[in-house]
Amino acid sequence: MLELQRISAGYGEVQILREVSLEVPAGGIVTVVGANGAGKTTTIRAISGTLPLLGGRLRFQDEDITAVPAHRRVERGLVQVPEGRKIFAALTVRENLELGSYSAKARARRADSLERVFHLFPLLRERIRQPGGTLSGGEQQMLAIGRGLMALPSLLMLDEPSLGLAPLIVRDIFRIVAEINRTGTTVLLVEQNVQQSLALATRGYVLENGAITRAGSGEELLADPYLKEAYLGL
Amino acid sequence: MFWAFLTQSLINGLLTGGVYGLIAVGLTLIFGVMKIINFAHGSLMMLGMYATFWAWSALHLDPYASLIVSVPLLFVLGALIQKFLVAPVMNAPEHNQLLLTLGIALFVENAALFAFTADPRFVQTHYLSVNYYVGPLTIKLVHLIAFGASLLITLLLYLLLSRTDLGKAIRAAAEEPEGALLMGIDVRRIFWISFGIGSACVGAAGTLISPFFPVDPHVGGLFVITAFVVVVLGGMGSFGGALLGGIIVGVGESVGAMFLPGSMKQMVTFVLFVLILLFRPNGLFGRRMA
Repeated sequence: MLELQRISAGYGEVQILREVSLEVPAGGIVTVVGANGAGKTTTIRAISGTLPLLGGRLRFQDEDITAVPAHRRVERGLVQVPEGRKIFAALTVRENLELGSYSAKARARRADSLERVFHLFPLLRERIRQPGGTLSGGEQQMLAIGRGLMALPSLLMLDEPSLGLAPLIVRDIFRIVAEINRTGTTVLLVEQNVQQSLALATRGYVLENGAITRAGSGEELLADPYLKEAYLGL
Repeated sequence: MFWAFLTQSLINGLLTGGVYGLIAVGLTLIFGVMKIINFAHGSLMMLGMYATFWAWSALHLDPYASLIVSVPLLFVLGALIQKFLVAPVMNAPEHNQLLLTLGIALFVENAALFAFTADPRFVQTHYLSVNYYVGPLTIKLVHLIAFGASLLITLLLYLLLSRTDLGKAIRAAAEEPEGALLMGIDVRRIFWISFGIGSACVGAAGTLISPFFPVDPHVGGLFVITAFVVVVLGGMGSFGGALLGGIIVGVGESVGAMFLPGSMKQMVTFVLFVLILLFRPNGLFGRRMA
């Protein structure tokens, strides 16, 4: 569904990603794990188009999208839930969700999508009139994911959804990500939480210093002695 | 006698303040969305006034009807300025942006000086002499219309921002541009639309004061300084704050003029400005800057 072909990207003079290639097959959950500063967020921003590429090509649903601007990628169903949520703090929960369905295609199905989001996150329905900024961290993450779902993604990309959340809430979030995937949305998950995110993954990649160093199924990677030592402290 | 005089000043200030509010609403919208301080705001107002003057003198258009000229004209002009001049410096340091908008102001004012000469021009209508008398108080029709129309335009803009998808997208882009982009909102488009709307507001304000305020190429300077005070008073980027701030400054100015010599009436504005900066640097309704 999504294919990165030797992607290089960075900020100004600083190159972060060096020829990263990876593939997200339709229907699965692909996890990219790596330490802080390995280039996880850079990878996801390169895919969503919020960061210009220095080299390489991007293919999505059998089309080259390298030159497609970020807002048009959303219309095509490539949707990113950003790190740190980036919800609209002064706008109400409802307005946040409505903005998720901004494109004409998503707008036409706004009412259905809202029901779907409320089904996944019943808490959001109770908070509907509250400004997004007054929600707790976990609720904000739910709002950010819900907002992403409103855009009708065929591929949903989540950048560190567990960041800064309590373990119980992290478990909830991952459970819901799995549920979203079961209902037909392909997921690309970028995480520092190696154990839980790889347990979910149909395929995993390890990103180190801006390059892919290991790839395999989630189980394979979890059993990998190198990964165990470097990331799980076992 | 004193009380009648004071009430009269309050009313005058309130009516003028509504227009200040509209000018400041445009400025605060542009600032709120793009974090750009638009020094060209006053010169755009001047263009709105000239549009009204020429529509009246050449086409015999009623000055209020010329809103259909000045509003779209200034919208397009503002959008073009954002797209071709402001957009390239969006990520530049603040002083560069400041120099740019100041440069645009100088250019527009001098172009107007060249094209229209420095002579003050005046739209002459019979409205100007229509007054209403309530007891000892006089209310000028032109002030009343300017006030009412300013409030109405501000209300329409408020509805646009709070009820429509475009308005929500503008607020989203103001707050979290990257988050907005990730929702499929074309943030660059939102930027030029917002600049256009902000400019259209000040263009409308220019039209509304034309029946009682002569236009010359430098007229904008008078208003833009006041508008900055209003925006800071209300809280940078705060919409309701801009309107209320406009009324406060309008009333302050007009009541101040009762006690101060005429040439010093703007002093009230500046004293107010210094006091806000000292005691409420985020404005009356501003959120604390992180």
